[in-house]
Formats: sequence, C-alpha cells, structure tokens
Amino acid sequence: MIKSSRLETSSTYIAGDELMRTVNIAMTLEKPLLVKGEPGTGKTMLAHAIADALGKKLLIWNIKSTTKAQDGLYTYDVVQRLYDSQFGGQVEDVSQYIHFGRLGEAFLSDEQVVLLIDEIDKADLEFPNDLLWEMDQMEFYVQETKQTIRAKHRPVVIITSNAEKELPDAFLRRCIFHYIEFPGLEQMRRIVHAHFDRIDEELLEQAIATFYNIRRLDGLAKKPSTSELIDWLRALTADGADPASIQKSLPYLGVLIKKDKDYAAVRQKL
Amino acid sequence: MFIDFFYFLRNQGLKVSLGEWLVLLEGMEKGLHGSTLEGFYHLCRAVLLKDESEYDLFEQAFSAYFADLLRKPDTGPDRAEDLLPENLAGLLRKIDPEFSADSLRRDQAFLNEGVGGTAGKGRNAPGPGSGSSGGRTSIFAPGSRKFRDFRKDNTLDTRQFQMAFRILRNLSTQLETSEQEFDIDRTIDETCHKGGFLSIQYRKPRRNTLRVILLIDSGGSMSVFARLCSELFQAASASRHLKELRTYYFHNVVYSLLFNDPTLELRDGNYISVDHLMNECDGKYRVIFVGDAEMHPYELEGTEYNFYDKKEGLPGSQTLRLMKRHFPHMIWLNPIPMHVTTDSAEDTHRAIANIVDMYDLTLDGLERGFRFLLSGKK
Repeated sequence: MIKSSRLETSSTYIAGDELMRTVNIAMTLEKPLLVKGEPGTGKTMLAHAIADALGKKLLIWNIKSTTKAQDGLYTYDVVQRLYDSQFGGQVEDVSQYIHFGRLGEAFLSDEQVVLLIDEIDKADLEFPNDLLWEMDQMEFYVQETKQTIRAKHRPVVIITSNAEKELPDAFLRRCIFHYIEFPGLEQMRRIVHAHFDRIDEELLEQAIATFYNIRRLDGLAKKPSTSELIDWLRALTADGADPASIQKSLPYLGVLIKKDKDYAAVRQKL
Repeated sequence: MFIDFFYFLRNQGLKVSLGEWLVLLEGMEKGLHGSTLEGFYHLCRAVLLKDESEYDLFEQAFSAYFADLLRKPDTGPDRAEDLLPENLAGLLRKIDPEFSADSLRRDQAFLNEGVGGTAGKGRNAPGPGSGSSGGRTSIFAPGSRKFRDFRKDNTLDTRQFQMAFRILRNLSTQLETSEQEFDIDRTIDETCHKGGFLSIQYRKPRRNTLRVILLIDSGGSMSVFARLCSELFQAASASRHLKELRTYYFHNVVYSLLFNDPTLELRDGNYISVDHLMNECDGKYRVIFVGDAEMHPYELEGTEYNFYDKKEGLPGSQTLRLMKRHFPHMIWLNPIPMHVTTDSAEDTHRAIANIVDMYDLTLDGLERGFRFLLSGKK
C-alpha cells in the first residue's frame, strides 16, 4: 500500500488514531470494513472522509428493511421489455433491460471506488449471507445475459451497522471490525472546531460540559450524540446565547433531546 | 510458537477462526503491526474480533498472555529475550525481528499504560457508555476496563432467538392491501389467451398473517431470568414479519388481569382484563407464556393471591383452562427444565404443563414450541 493513499485526518472529519489504523488495515488486506458505534458517531461520515482522502468516487448503497441482496447486483426490467416488444421495439438485446445496482456499479467502474453499504442491519436477517460469494469473489453472474460481471478494481468496502440485528458469523469472519467509541472531551473539541470556523471558546466549554453531564445521566432512552451537539452549538451561536447561562437554563434543549420522557428527566435532574 | 497464542485466545472464549488467523498472519507479513506490540494489539483486535462485547475479554486475555513481559527486569539487549519463556520470545521476535531492550521498554510501557496513555490524549475524558467517568489512563490496569459495559456472557444470543421466531410464519394472500407485485405466470397465460396481445397481470403479495400474544411472568423467582426474558422480548419485537405482537406481564400465574409493563402496577391504562383480551383477540392468535411455573400450589388453585383484583375472579388454573379453550394455539416456555425442578415447585410445574403444552426456554425448546404453535402438531 502506498503511503500517500492512506487515510489521514481530514479537515472535516476527525478520526481517532485507532480508527485510522483499522481503516488502513482493512484497505491493505482488501477486506470489507465493518464499522459499529452509537448513532451519531460518524459512521457514515467515515466513508465520505475515506473517499475524499483517497480521491475516489463514493457509491452509497442505503439499506432498508425491504432491500434484497439482488438489488445491489442488478435488476431485470421484464415489464419494460414486454411492452417494448408489443410496440415493435428492438428487444433482442436483453442487456438493455439489465439495470445494475450499487455493487454492480462498483464492480463495473473503470477506476477503484469506495462503496458504502449503509446500515446493513436494517435488512432481512439473511441479507449479509446472500452477499458472501459476491464480496469474496468480487464477481456475480447475470442469468439473463449469461454474463459474469467481475470487478475491474476491487472496491474499498465500508459497511456500517447500528446493531439493530446481529449479523451472521460467516459474514463477520470476512470483515475487519471497528467499534467507534464515543469521542472523549479532547477529541470532541477537535471535532467541533472542524465544523465551526470560529466559535466562542467559553460557549463551547460550557456547552460541551453540559453535553457530557446529560450523557452521564442514568436512564435516558436516547443519549444525545455528536451530530446533535453540533446542531445544538449552531442553535446557541445563532442565538448568541450567554455562555454562563447554558448550564442552568439549558436553552434549545429540544435540539439535544428528542424524547418527551428524556426531556423531562434532564430538566429535572440538571 | 505463534499458534500458541491462537489457542490461548480460543481457550479464553474468543471465537477466533482459522480463516481470521490466516488473515492476521497476512497482515503481519505486510507489516501492518508496525513491528510494535501496540500495533500487533490493534491488528489482532481489528482482524480477530467482530463485536465490541468481545473487546473487554480480548484486553484481559492479551494482558494475561504478555504478563511475563512486565515481570522481567530490564536487562541487556541479549538477555532480555533469554529470560522470557520460549513461546513469548518467539512471538516477540515474530512481531519485531530486531527485538531489543528498547523495544522491550516500549512494549512494557504500552502494557502498563495502554492505548489511552501512549496516545497522550483523551485523558480525563468521560468514558464511553454509561460507565463511571474518569481518565483513560490505562486499558489494562485493573478498574479501567473501558469495554466492560459491552460484555455479554450469555449462551443464547438474540440472533438465535430471532431465527427461531422466523418459524412463526403463516403466509397468506388474503390481505387488505393495495400493494401489487408482478405475476409472471398469469401474465403469460393471459397474453396467450389474447393471441399474443400483452396483458400484464398483478397479484397481491404473500404476507405473514400471524398474530402473537406474549405473556411474561415478572418478578419473584423470575428475576434471575430477567435478562433471558428481555432478550426473548427483544427478539420478538425485532421480528417484524409478525402481523401483530402484543406483550403483557403477570406474576406467577394469570388471574383476571394482565399488565402492560413488568412493574405490574395497578394504574389506569396499565392493565387489561383477560376477558377483554379474549373479546378483542380471536382464537387465531398464538399465545406464548413465559414463566417458571414455580409458586405455591394455592396460587394456582385459589384466588387469595389475586390481590390485583380484590382477590376475586377465577383461580389461576381455571383461567388457564378458559384461555386454552379460547386460544387453541397456546404454549408455555419455561426457563427451568422439567427434570430439575425442586419438589416444592413440581406440583405447580406439572399441573400447568397438564393444561398448557410446556417447552424449555432453550433454542431447541423454542423451535419445537413454535412448530407446535404453528401447526398444532408435535
């Protein structure tokens, strides 16, 4: 692996040392990187940062509960073909009715791309297993055209999971795994500075302290995450809030806390 | 020498496979560990572990394996190696071919201080998760095991539970839905009938129509099984293929009332009467009881213990019979296997098993129970 193509902390994404190390391991070993972590710790952002750092195109495959493995490879538009035949169109060439999915696109691309498979745990339990062969061999077979699509360049694959469902062992064995820890105080400051050109230091300190205090409260249904802190800071700076009053009056708490019950609990305890 | 570490990790309970081990070797050949113990630690963690719940166990195992490194006095370059046990020395040579006193000191520092210490930042930062705050001075030092919160030493994982829940399927096309999917067979048929003039046909998709009522025993002797029950509940609620899932709680045996949450508090909106439930739900609902069936025989045969409802209504055993008549598809899952029940519990355990088909709350029992629930056949 060439040194220059390694991931370094970019201007907008602050990666921890451990994370950068793991990304480089995954890229060198040419294995998919599975990233887990609390919501809002920047799992999806990571793929953007990697693509930026490598100067490669990013393809995002968003997984939903109805997504099938086949959707990522290709779909065959049989209805269009039938209609075309009805109206005397040229239908001998089946390949024009084959539409490639995100994985297919990544394989066919003339240059190496970064492929993000976002929130893989949203899909059916069997979904990851259905992709094993394609991910291992980096090829798949299109039945309708009797054609094998082989990756021209092995894509850099990043997979994120919110751990809503557990993933099958056979799939996990093939991945490099990293758990993004929730950032500590020092790293959080760096992250905030990457997002704000200029921010009142006093305001930042007060807001971050309050933020960690809220996260430390027991029994919150959903703890506020990094992205919510950023939004909150935006609201505070736009409003020109008085830094001294943040800890006490908790302005715009609704930006941080999204659940009624949590909202009441935070108001009561802080 | 090196394979020794592989078996050590496996003996510590980490599910490291041979394939993953080979990937680790490949990574070392490519120099991804950067010839340091710290690098080796990160490479192992990235390649061999697949869940954050294993991080803590791995840290413990890693520091245990290399513990000898710390005990050895810091001697000259040649002797440092000689003093170590053969397997450790071999591994260290593998990690760093030019192993020297300097590298030993560096590795010792890593083991002592851990990642947080050497990285020099993140100190005094609040720890992850809900654990107590405090600095990340060392990942290995006792009391600072930062991944401890993620551990789960359970035998049954939720994935297995979820797979079992998939048995509960009853596919049907008789649905009140406007959704349509393309029907190839009928399209071909109709097109042929029309002499080749295309006639696209759609049909309603097949969906699961199964509705399930989950009734969980809460409190008392069941508290030891709280985690098992909560995992079962999580697996059930994650099973989105069910048409409907209702969950209620009771204590020991069902009398006239069922509760919406495990606190069993008798307040407005927190309970539903069994009569009401049977009015709302027809016999097609599948009913699953979860409980240890361990109680005083009188709880089953009398109404004295129904303090939730003025000690009135039917005794538990009769309520169960009534429900069984209304819901023919009904099972009882028991975390205590039938053969290990104590004498005191045996009465009620068997008595309930005589009314409701009882299965052990294990993967095997779950599967057999669900099959019975679906087909009515054992």
